[in-house]
Amino acid sequence: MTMRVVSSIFAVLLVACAAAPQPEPARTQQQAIALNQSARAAFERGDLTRAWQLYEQALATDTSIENADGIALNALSLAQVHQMLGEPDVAQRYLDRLLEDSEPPIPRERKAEAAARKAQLALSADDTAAAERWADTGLALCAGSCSAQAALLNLRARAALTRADNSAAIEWAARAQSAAPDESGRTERANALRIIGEARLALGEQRAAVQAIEQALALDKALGLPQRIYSDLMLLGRAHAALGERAAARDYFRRSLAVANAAKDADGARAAQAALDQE
Amino acid sequence: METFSKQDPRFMELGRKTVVFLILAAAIVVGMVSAGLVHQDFFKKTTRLYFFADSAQGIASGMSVQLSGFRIGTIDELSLEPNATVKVRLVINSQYAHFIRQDSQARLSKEGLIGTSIIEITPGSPQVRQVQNDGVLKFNRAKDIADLAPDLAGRIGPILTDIKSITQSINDPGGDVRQTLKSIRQASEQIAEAAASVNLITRSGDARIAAVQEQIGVVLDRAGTNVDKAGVVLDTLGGTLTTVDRSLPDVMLKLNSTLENAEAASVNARKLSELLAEDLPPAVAEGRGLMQESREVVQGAKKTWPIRNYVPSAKEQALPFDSNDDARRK
Repeated sequence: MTMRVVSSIFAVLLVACAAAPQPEPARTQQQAIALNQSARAAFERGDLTRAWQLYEQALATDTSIENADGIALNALSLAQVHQMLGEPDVAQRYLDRLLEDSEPPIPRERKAEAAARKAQLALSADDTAAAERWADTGLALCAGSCSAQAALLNLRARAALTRADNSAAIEWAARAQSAAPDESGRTERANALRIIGEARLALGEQRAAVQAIEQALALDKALGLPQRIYSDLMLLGRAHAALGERAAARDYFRRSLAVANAAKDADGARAAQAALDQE
Repeated sequence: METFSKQDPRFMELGRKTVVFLILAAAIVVGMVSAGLVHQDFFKKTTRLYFFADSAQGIASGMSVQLSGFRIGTIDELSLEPNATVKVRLVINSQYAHFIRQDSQARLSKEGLIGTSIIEITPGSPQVRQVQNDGVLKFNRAKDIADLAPDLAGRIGPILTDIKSITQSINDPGGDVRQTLKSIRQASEQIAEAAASVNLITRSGDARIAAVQEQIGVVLDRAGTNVDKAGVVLDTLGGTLTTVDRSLPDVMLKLNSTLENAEAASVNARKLSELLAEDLPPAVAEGRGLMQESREVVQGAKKTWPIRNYVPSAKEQALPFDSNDDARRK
């Protein structure tokens, strides 16, 4: 009996060892991957200029082998880097190139993500109409389901919130919440809850707002996003202040100040201090 | 006989056969004798010559007589004379006799240094009359190896003595030869050390020159950048010259201070670059090699089961998109 078990285990191990490894990408493809990963590392350590250079190299490498998905991924990243560098026009050019009909054809999912980024740029420029248009374009490209769907719905919700259409904002955000049910959608779920909280707060539904924002705070803490935690704490402070719970409000503003100081967010710290001073 | 001939046909005409046989046998004998006589030049016309030697040593009957390397006759007879000299008779083929003059000499020599002994006749002077039959030639002995040996021994002896003394001198540790060789060896070692030092100095010089060239290149690049910047500064300076005039003394003081600081910084930077120029390239090269090898090992390990199951396959990714990125302040 023991011999049979040992033989079976050995056979399983032998089969596992004999299993063919996944085929390796071509050398140029490997170079593009390496450049993309180096660019991501540079972005994460805050070296946006280096990230931009490396993403450009990765884009050129992918273009040289007509790797449509690689071209799209690097162009989307470049748009984000230039957006953060304060160069929205450059970011727009990268996104426009993706949204044009070109060869090799860019996958629709990547085009949907490009549309989402265009909507975000429009929101940053206070162009709510353009944001809604690009969000709708993106949702159409998604054709039911894609990785950018929850983000597109949240952008649509944020556009409604900007227009003070709080009910529509809550509706779009609820749809976004439903579109991001799994672990990978936690960021957009938290965003949706935060938008719902803001909209509820605007509608005077402070208790419902607190409930939604506390859920968002829990998710943002789990994700370890200081700026989102700061936003949630500020919103909670404002909600409690609106409820007349000044001690709780002051407590949240104080926590917001601590988070902003720790994250070296001078603007956030000033806003938190101002709110604290008002209470 | 008839009985035999009747019984055996081989005995028929036996008498005639016997006669034929005897004639053939006689002819063969005559032929052989004739051949021998021909071989002995019996039928050739010869000239007899004589010479007298003090000894018959090395001379024998039948010995070859040669002229200019050609055999022209033989020694026919030796006889001892009453005065204890040896009379030797030569038989010379007459066709060669005209080469032999009355002043020709007979000489006992050897074919080669240790070859067969021969009698060699010198041709003689052309103006002297030809020797006649029964003529007498002068005789002398050529020196053979036995005669030469004492002479050679006498001549080689001093040479061997010299060689022996030279060998002794070479073997003597305190001798001139040994001392000279020792001095040459020491000089060679010193030359080799000097060559190594020169090589080292040259190599070091090359490295220094390369480092200096590299630093000059960097300095020139910086100088070029500074010149560009200076151009812009000069433009600005032109516009603000009047303002500068008013505050020039203060600026000059600050400039002096700045230049001193810059000079100090430049000296420090030069020292640092000199140090780095020596240590950094090998360290970088080694580090690069090590990193390459480490990468290969890690890459290899990643492809190995079961590690490959836990390593996510490398692929390109876009930066994570967050719809709330620019919305915080809103």
